[in-house]
Amino acid sequence: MLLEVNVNKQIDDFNLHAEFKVSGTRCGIFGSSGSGKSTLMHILAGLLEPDSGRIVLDGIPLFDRENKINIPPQQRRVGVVFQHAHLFPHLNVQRNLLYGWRRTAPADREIAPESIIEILRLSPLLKRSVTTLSGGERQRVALGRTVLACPRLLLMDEPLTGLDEALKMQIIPYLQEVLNSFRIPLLFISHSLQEIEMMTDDVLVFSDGKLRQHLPTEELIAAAR
Amino acid sequence: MMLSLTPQDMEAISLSVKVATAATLISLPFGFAAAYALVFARIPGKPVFEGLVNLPLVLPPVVVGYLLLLLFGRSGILGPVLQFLDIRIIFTVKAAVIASAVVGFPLLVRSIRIGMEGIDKQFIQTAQSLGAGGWDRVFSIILPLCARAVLAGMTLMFARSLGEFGATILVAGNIPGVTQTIPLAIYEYTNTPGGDSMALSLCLVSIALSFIVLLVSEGSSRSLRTGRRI
Repeated sequence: MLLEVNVNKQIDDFNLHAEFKVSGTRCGIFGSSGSGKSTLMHILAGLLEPDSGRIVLDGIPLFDRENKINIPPQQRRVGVVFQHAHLFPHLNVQRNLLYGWRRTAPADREIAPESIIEILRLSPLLKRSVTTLSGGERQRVALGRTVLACPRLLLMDEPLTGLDEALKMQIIPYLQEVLNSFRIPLLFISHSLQEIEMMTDDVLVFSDGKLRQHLPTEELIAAAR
Repeated sequence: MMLSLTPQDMEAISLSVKVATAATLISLPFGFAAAYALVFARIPGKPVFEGLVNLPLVLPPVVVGYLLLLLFGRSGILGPVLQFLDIRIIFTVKAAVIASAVVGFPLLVRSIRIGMEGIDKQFIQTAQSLGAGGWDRVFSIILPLCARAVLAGMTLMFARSLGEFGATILVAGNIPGVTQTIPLAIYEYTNTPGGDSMALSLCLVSIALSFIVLLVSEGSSRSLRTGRRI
């Protein structure tokens, strides 16, 4: 994966400026709350339009203000897992899982539903209403649903925030197995050093809407210790 | 007291139900679109649009009826076009449907709008990032998540249509068997010597119909889920 980003966005008094290139498969975006992490994620997913700049993923421009390119979110193939699972309450687990897969062109369906169901151990849940799932089950279904849309880039916005320590430790192996099995490039957004250490190889450090550092995760962890 | 209904009353009841059903069903797609535009669309002059949608709610129904006459009457704005197409609206059941639709429209839009505003926007963003385009999101996410509100709006509008009087009497008249709905028949009975018991019978029918509508609405909405975050 090669992601090239150079964008600016002004929201009231807050200004985000992000300029970086990421070529690894697991990159973290680290910063305190209000540092611009989530704004950047919304911009990358196409859910928020930057004021200027460009975003290029594997040579394909997703956004380019100068050339008036702005690929809509539904055509970007950039998957998003939000902090809250946001499973569709009117659909059962199986229909939630297949929501994105059914909307993916057959030629792009590189991941089979059966393999995701197996890796995430979702078989017993398929017919259940999503309102009956536990917090961990909900996040597994949300992850499966996003991965089944076969994204070229996976964005995870604090997916483990709000889960207790035991639940986090249960989910992380599932996450790693999915990422290892399908080699999906990941941008993992978090304000937790522990999660960044477990999930990423290099990391972008943001504060006050600016990129302050781009360094290997181990260096950030070593510096923090 | 025995409930006694004449064949003419039965026609008025049947016509009321037909007019209310037609007005509600015809208004539904427009009401949904108006609510969608008010909640999700970025359109210039939104407050003006909102005001126009809500106007029939605050205008006296007689004024609405008069404006409809100015629009659809023989010498009205659309009069020549309607005459050319050989379509007669005033003093027909079509006029009763239009009057009910216009008067009840704000109630329908208001209810659907409240339902749409209650949908967590991240459901829609999630659907978008999963590949759902505009119409797809409307039918697969927005409509199911505000189905209760749509049903509530339809119920309100249906009930309002059943009781519509002012606009209807102006544009549709009070022709038994043709445009006479329950409120118009009650009005006629109250102006007829000895018609009190007949008027009361129709009042009871009106109460029963409204109650049935509420029961049906309540029963159906229980089986639908709201747009809460999971």
